[in-house]
Order: sequence, then C-alpha cells, then structure tokens
Amino acid sequence: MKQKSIIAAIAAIVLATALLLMPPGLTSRLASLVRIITHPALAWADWTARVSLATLGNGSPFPEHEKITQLQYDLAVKDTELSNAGAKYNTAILENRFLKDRLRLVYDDSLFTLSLCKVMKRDPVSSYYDTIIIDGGSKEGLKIGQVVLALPPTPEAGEERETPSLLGIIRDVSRDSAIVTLTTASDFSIACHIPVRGVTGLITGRVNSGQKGPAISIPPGNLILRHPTEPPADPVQVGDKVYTSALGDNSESVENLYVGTVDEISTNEIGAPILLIRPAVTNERLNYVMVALKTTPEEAKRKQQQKQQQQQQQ
Amino acid sequence: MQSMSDKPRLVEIEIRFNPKLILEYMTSRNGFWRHASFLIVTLFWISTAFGLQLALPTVFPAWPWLPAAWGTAYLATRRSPVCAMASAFAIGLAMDAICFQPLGPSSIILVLVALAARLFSARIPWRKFFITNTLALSIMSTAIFVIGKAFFCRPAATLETDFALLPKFLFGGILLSLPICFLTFSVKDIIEGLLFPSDEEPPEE
Repeated sequence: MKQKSIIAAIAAIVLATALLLMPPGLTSRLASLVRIITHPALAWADWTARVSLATLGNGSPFPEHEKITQLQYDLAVKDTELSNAGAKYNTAILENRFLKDRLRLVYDDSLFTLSLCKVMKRDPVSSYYDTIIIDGGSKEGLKIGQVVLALPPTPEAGEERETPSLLGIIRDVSRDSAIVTLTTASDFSIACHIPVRGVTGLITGRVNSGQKGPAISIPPGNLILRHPTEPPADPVQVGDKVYTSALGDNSESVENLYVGTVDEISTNEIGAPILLIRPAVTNERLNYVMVALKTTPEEAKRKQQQKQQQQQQQ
Repeated sequence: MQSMSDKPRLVEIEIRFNPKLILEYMTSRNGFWRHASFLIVTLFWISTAFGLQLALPTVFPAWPWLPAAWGTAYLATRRSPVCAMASAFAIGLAMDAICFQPLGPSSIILVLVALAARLFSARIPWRKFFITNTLALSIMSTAIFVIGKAFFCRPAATLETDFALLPKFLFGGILLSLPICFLTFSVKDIIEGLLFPSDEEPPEE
C-alpha cells in the first residue's frame, strides 16, 4: 500500500513538473479547458459564497486584508481606465491616419488649407442637386465664395489616389453652418479654364433648366462651359481636363482645382461653341466635403519656406 | 527456492461475452450504479475542495486556500492511492487554472499533502481512530499546504513579507482547521454512509 502510494505520488509530481515546463501556449490552452470544465463548480462556489456572506455578513477579522483587497480593487479599476484610455488613444491615432490619408493632396497646399466638414442636411425633394448644408461655419473660417471639394474615393490596392474635385461654392455662411451651391444647381457658375488649350470661360450648371416646378430626384446633366475663348489653332478635344480659374470675380476662388473632362462639343444657334463638361464626381451620396480656405500671401510664403526647409532637411 | 524454469512463462486469458453477468452488473445494487454514484460523489468532493477555495476568500480572507488541503486529505484517506493522487493533482490543476497562476505548483503541494495523509493513515487508520486521525490530518495538511504555498506560490511581493506572514497563517490555519475538519469529515462520512449503505466498504481499490 505504501509503495503504491509513493509511486502514484511520484507520478503525479512528475506530471505536475511537466506542466510547469510546458510551453506557455499549450499551458494557457490547458488552463482554458480546465476553466471550462470547472465552470459548474465555480457556479456552486459562487452560490456558497453568497450564502456565507448572507449568514456571516461582510465583516472581516483582518482589516489589513480588507485594505489589500480594496487596493487591489482600486488598482483593477485604474487598470481598466488605463486600458480604456489606451483604446481611445489608439482609435484617435487610427482616425487621424484615416483623415490624413483622405486629405493627401497633389495640390500646392501653400495656396489654401482644406477644412473637412460633414454634410448636415440635404433637401430630399426640391433642391437635392442644388444645395447642401455643411457643419462648418464662420467659426471655422468659412466665407461666401469659397470652393467646396468632394473627397476622392479610396483607391484600390495599387491604384493612385485621385485628386479632390470641384463640388460647389459656399453661398451663405452662419456661425456653425454653411449652405453650399452644388455644381449641378442651375444658378451655379464659376470661372474655369482648360490649361492645355489655353481656353477660359464661365462654367454653369444646367440641372432642371427649362423645367418648371419641383423635380424630384432627377439626375443632373453635364456642366456647360459657355463662351469659351478658344484659339482656332488648337481646338478643344473631348477628354480635355477642365480646372478652376482665378480670373472670375470670386475673390475666394482657388485656381487649378479639378472640375471634370470635356464630354461633348456643340454649337448654339449663332455658331458659338458650347462645351459639355462631365463632372469628376457625382454628388448623389455625400457624407463629407472639404472646403478650400484661401491663405493670405504672407501665410503662403511662410508655408513655402517651411516646405523648403523640410526638403533641405530630408 | 523456486527456479526460473518452474515459473509459468505465459498467462492465458480467455475473454467471453457473458450477457447474464453484464446484466447483473448493470442492474444489481452493488454493480454499475454503485460505481457510478461513487465516481460522482468523488467528483463532487473534488469540486468542493477547489470550489470552497474560491467561495471562502470573501468570508475568510486570511485563509483562502485551506479547504483544498482538507479536501485532499479526506480523499487521500478514503480512496485508493491512484484515485487520491489523481484527485490531488486535479484539485491543484483547477486551482491554478482558475486563479490564473502557472499550472503545476498547487498540484505538487497537494500531492505531497495526499502522500503524507496516506502514509499517516496507513499507521493510524481513520476507521479505528477517527478523532486522532482527523486531528493529525488537519494539522498535517494545513502545515504542509501553508508552507508549500509560502515556498511555491508566494502571495506577497517579497520573500520576507511571506515568511513574516507564515506563522500567522500557520497557527491561525491549524486552529481553524480543527473544528472545520472534524465537521466536514464527519458530514462527508455520513453522506457516504447514506449513499453506500451496504455492509461492504466503499470500493477503495
């Protein structure tokens, strides 16, 4: 009997020592399995603890242990708070990365600063393609006439990011919001040019033009470039890219923002050419937009100097 | 003296399917049901050992680990050696897993407790000397477990702190173990007596 007991004990000790020497991954799996198996016993223990507490009360004969328990509890609470703060910090980093990725531009950012705004409201019936209301206002430095850009779609793997393109112009600004006239509105107009041809003109929207009464969810047509100053030697071709121009009377407009491509070339009754421009983006579904805040010449100069310094350091 | 050539070299075993015997084993009072209920009771005592371990800390913060040692000592004296060591190992394993400690140290300590309890019970059997046996088992199991815990699973940060707490845990634990062991061992024996009321002893081997 004694020998049997000693042999069984030695075997159990060897097994326990083997557990101690096992790789951590395997040990944690085994521990998880044991915790699952012992779950009924834990429930039973919880019940007995409740009964004991109900019978004997919460008083402890060892106040120092109470202190240790309280400290451990406080430590656990702080640890949880720290974990939450860490999670929030990581979320903020990811969000920041996402926004930086979104705002990556090919333009010379010394000429303007982009401000990201959320679309607050859009009239679903009468002016769906005419105006939107955004959550940026004069508090954020928004002014009437500033150019609003659409966020380029997230590029697929291996693709290059598209440049932000013209979406509209700010028509009215309050302290916390602004109304944007979309390029598809009938009263939209902005000076633009086709740099490769040296052509400038006034671009206008033509949505609902000629229609009376509210137009519900009618997709807008192309933009119209009227009265282009076209040199006869180098005519505009379909597919030419159109950009904004600073030659108009809008002092807040920014030059060389992408508008779209020439889609069709036609003439009016008197023979003047009319260019139909296909916008680079559709404005059917908008969640966020960017407003180009024109920088002052001093700021632009300072930014250029900073950029040069950074390039020299690199 | 018997020479090697006289010893039988081969053992011949014949296994036959005996439906009558199997039916008798499955239906008789001392057959399958007795063994199954005995196994269930043993598993329940095992779960009691580490379950109380978890239930009592809120009530007795100073002695949270002792029910495991007492439960192991009880099983070590009332069960077969293999069953006793396996129970001690399982209780230790469950304790370590539930307390998110490295697996193994508690098992080693409890196996030592079980071994000491068995060796002691071989000299002083619990059926003949219940009071002496229980008294010795409670003191022995508590002492081994508290010292083992101080060595293997130190609860405090430094060795000095642990050893400063050792006398208090040791004497306090032993003092507490005396009434609890007498009470729990008696209750468990009564329950087992009610569950296995035959003239035979519970299947020890």
